[in-house]
Amino acid sequence: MPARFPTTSANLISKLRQADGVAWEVSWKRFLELYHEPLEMIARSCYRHHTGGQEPGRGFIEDAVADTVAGFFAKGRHRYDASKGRLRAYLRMLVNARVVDLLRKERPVDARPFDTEEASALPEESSLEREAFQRALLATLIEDLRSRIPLRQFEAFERVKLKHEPPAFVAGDLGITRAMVDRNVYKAMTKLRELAGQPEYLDEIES
Amino acid sequence: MNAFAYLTRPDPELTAEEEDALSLELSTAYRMDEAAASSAEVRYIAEKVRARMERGDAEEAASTSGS
Repeated sequence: MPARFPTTSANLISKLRQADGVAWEVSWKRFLELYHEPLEMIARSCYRHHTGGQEPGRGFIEDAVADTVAGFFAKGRHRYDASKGRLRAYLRMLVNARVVDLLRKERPVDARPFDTEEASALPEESSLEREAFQRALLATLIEDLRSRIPLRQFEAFERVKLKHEPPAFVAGDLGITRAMVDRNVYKAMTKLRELAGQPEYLDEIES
Repeated sequence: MNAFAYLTRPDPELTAEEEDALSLELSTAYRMDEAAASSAEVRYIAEKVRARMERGDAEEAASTSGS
């Protein structure tokens, strides 16, 4: 995991779920890096849904994602309330609204305007979209792990489990025994399991 | 089965195939994240987000000073 990201006392999903101002301390840039893939997929799907299957241009998707992230992090607007549903569902609703806004601006003046029901109708969630969201959530979990365990332990886990370097090579490179590498990886995996079992993650992965 | 299903299973013992599948999903998510951090496309969208947030802050400041 890149070292430039600050460690956090609570994970990103927890922060987004909090109703107070803490939620807005989460870096929007980090959020964009982690969630841009599912956001783009949702935007594409919503565009097709509202245009009878047309494909959006690159600029449209970028604008839709940028509007969504800016709206999500704007103080006092579009506040995410975990009691009203999962982050995944909330993001779908938010992206759809931004796509409709952009389509309204694009539509020629004589085109039939969206009615409220049509505008809020969401497309079915595709398996690709679900997989992209789970990848983003898994990357969030890995970042969470990084801030919760000793740096050396994470480094062993990162190199063996994430970069697939041979444990014996990692041991030699770090100047520790192979058994120590295995122990560090085992401890990191145990912590990863513990974190994955937290309600904020479990709520998001339930289908 | 996805990685979260493996990670949250009551019995943490995985078969070799399951270990491989979990490891693949973890490394895919990790590489996706690494790629996003250096992606020109994500950087470009980030510039758009920043411009929108600055515009929002300016509008909020203008409405506050005007009220």
